Amino acid sequence: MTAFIARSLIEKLVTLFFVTVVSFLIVHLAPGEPAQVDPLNPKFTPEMVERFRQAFHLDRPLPVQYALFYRDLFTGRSVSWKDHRPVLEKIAERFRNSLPLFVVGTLLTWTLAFPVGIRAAVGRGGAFDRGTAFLAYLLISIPGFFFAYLLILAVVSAFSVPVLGMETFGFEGAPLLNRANDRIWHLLLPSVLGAGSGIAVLSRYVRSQMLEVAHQDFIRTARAKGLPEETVLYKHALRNALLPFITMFGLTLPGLVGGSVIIESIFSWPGLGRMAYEAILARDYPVILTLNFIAAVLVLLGTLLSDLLYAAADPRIRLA
Amino acid sequence: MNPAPRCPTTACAPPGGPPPRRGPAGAWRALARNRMALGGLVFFAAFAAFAAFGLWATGGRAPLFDPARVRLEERLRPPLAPVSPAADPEGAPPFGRYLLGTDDLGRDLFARMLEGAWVSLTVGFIAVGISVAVGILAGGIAGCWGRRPVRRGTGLAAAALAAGAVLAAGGQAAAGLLLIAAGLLCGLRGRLGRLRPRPGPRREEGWLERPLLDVDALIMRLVDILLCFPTFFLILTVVALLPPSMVTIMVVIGLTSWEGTARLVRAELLSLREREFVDAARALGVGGVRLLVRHLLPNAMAPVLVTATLGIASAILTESALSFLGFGVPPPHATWGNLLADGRRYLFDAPWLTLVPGGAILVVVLAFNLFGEGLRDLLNPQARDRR
Amino acid sequence: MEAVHPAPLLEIEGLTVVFRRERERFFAVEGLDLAVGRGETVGLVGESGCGKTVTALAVMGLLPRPAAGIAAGRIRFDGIELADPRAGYPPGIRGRRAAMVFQEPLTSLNPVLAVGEQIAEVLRFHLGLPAGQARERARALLAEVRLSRPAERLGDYPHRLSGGERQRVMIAIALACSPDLLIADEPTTALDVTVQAQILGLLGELKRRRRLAVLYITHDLGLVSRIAERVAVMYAGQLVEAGPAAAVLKQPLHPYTRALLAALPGPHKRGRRLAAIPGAVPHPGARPEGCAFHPRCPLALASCRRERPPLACAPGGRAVRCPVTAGIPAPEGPRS
Repeated sequence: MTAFIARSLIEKLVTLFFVTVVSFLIVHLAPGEPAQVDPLNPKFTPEMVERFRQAFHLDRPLPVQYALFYRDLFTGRSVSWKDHRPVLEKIAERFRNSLPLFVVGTLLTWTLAFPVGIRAAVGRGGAFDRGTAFLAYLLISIPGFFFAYLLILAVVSAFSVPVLGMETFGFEGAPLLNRANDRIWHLLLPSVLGAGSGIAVLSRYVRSQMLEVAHQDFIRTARAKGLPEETVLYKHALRNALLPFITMFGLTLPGLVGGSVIIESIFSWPGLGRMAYEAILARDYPVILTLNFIAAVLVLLGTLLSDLLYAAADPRIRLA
Repeated sequence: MNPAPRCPTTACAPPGGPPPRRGPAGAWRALARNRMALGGLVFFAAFAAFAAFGLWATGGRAPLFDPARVRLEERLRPPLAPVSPAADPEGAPPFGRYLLGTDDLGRDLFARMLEGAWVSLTVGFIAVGISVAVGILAGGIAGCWGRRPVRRGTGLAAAALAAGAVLAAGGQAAAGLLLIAAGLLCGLRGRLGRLRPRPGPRREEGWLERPLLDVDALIMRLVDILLCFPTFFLILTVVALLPPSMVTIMVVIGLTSWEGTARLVRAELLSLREREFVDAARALGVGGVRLLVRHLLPNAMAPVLVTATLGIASAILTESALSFLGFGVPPPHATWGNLLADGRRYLFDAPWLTLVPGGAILVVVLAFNLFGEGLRDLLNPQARDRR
Repeated sequence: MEAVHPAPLLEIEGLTVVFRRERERFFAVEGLDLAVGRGETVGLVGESGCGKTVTALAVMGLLPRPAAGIAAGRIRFDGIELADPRAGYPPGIRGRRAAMVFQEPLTSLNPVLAVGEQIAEVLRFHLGLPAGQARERARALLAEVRLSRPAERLGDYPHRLSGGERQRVMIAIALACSPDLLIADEPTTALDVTVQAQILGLLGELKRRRRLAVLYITHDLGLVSRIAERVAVMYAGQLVEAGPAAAVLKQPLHPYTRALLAALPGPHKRGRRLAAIPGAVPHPGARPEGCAFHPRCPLALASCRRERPPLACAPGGRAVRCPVTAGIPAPEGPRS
């Protein structure tokens, strides 16, 4: 077990190294001089560009730049090119904003997808199954931003509550209850949107897993034992059907960074996704690279986590 | 009823035989029974026809529908609004009506939708074509020659080549070229050494010839690295950094979405090569590329076809999302994504500018998804009974 | 067919099982009559695809729904009707008074539940035993099916057990509630020959000790002679021959039974060619007209192609579905 963790940690560190190299190269080999953040800006005189280049080691050879960049990243010294604030501080601030969105969205996804998928599998071919199937395909196929506008249209005209941003502007002095209410309204729409396609995909997957397991021999054995249908379904079938989802749970982690670019842009939500979008627009390389690094770490941690969870849940798997 | 005794081989297929392939007639009948797939296919055909018609009707010097003609006096007309008699009759849409209304510059939305359909279709198909090609190549190599070792010398040569290329591109031309030359030399030496078998007792393997890892591991580690990037974030970064063009978008979407196909092909090949019919082919002396192309790949194609169909849907969605964020196919091309992005400013005044392109994307993507799922059922009848 | 025992435990009359797939419809079992007396072992024999397993599933009420259903016939278990489509399968029979052991021990146990739990849950549900007692009984059952170190095995997961051990666990589960009837569906087919003998020995011992009625399903006529008192031979969904095991094996009446016996290897056949039966069992959707066996039958008459022969009684408590050989004993010993 320890050996497995140690070995996979080493493996993942090697992968992480290559990821940093690749992402560094993508950013630095793209055409266009990174120092010319905005070539049309009259403030950017040649002297300023030169100063900029020196400040960010852009005049050094690439491998040196690489080493210097990741040294700065790990020592917390790298700063955003846009506003010269430390990158980690900026990210921490945005992370606090993204977290509630992520948590509510994930909770919605996982609490809704399983009952829906199981019910569809149990009543296969029935009205509920067909209805949810159609809804799921609709949710998977609808462009997220289009759906967002439809929802905004509906919510704004039906409840006339403001939904953009994290809270209503100028609401800071309001009583706590009203503020909380306001925050919840603002949180609801983006979370539902973020969860929508997740629920669709996951519930279909739960359903097909349940049906897959329902055809296994041990389910016939459970029925032959004369156990009640609920025990057969929820004890024997469900346990086996749920195994793959333990793996998926670890893989939701990277959604923290990459999953919300569009939704956060639409709702002017000052989170990590929007920050990534702004950084890309401004060619703010330290922020882009740091976000990428964090995303990669989350992916690798997620896979390690799901390996461990899987081994804990499935007695057939032994980590060695 | 058939009174003649059945041939035992057809009465019960032996386990481990090649998966039965249906003739085109059988496939057609099965398709006709699968309403979901059939509906998706019909929609797809209609979409393709619409796009092809759009290519013809919006191109040329005097197009039937002109997506670029600006008529400021005809701004934000609702669908089916007649062309006003005062407007310039030249280049006016047929029937004297704006079928789907006009946008904020008075351009005919129907004409722009026609033009955008072709763009969406092209982006979807070419991006998926690239990703499937790369995926089959990578998965095929991993599945077929996965156990071959990558020797340290080869790894070193490749590293030198890559580093040299990077340095050369990064400005240090001299150092880069030197490294490239060294890499080439190193690689060639290994080649030549292998071509000339040495006489006498087998000598101890040199350090350079020791295996580093096998080909399968190499490709799978590559996939792992790619999976570490959140796909949309990666696409967005690359597209934003490169000069905007349709080609860039197709290539970037294609090159960032092949890992699923690669894994699928690899897994399929690994399970297929354990089956008896592959042993039979091997015993008949079929080997290497021929075995892969004639016997293995056709049997691995079914799931790839399904992923490809679903991939087109997701490529169209990705393109529209990129357009929405302002990184899509650049103007003057109209795409459904940037039509939608432009239309949102008039969400309340001219909702058709949002609803028409949004609805069109939804319907097309839905059709591809349904067709893909239906195809999956068709190609895998055992699984169909469980759906 | 006359029952050997006065009041049979299981009585199947005219059982017809229909399968529907898309627009196809076919009968997997057609008009089957079969009885199993208390404490009696009946061997149900036939090639794969002849309807043996479907019969067993029908008795257990486990036919795959909605594809399969009982179209006609009655199944009575100790006087209780099991095949009434309106009443549904009565409670308290399946797993309690009638139990089944399946062919594939490797996949028939739930991989994520410990062996002990899989036995104990039956005891808790059917007998209402508290957890501790159920566990103790599970241990005793494992000892009864001769599993080594039963106390330690309770916590083991199925993948740690060999195929033979898993089949022992399956038997322990089946016997947990002391059923009256055990249906064993080719329980040894997937096992090594030596393990096969052990399991067979175990079943014989258990049935004697517990006065268990056993419906033993197999494609192996040779096996039947070692375990069953009576034997029923099925072909293409129909019963073609039934009678005391010794008599049927010694003097098979139906050409199909004869062919099965001739295809069996044995010490007295050394150096002789085994007689394979030409052709294969017809698919249930494409059964020939007339006698289902006539295309493969060496004795077929012209009438066999047209008319479906009825099951006729033969001396010695036997029955056979063949107009040619009914009542005409075959030459002594199986032909080859």
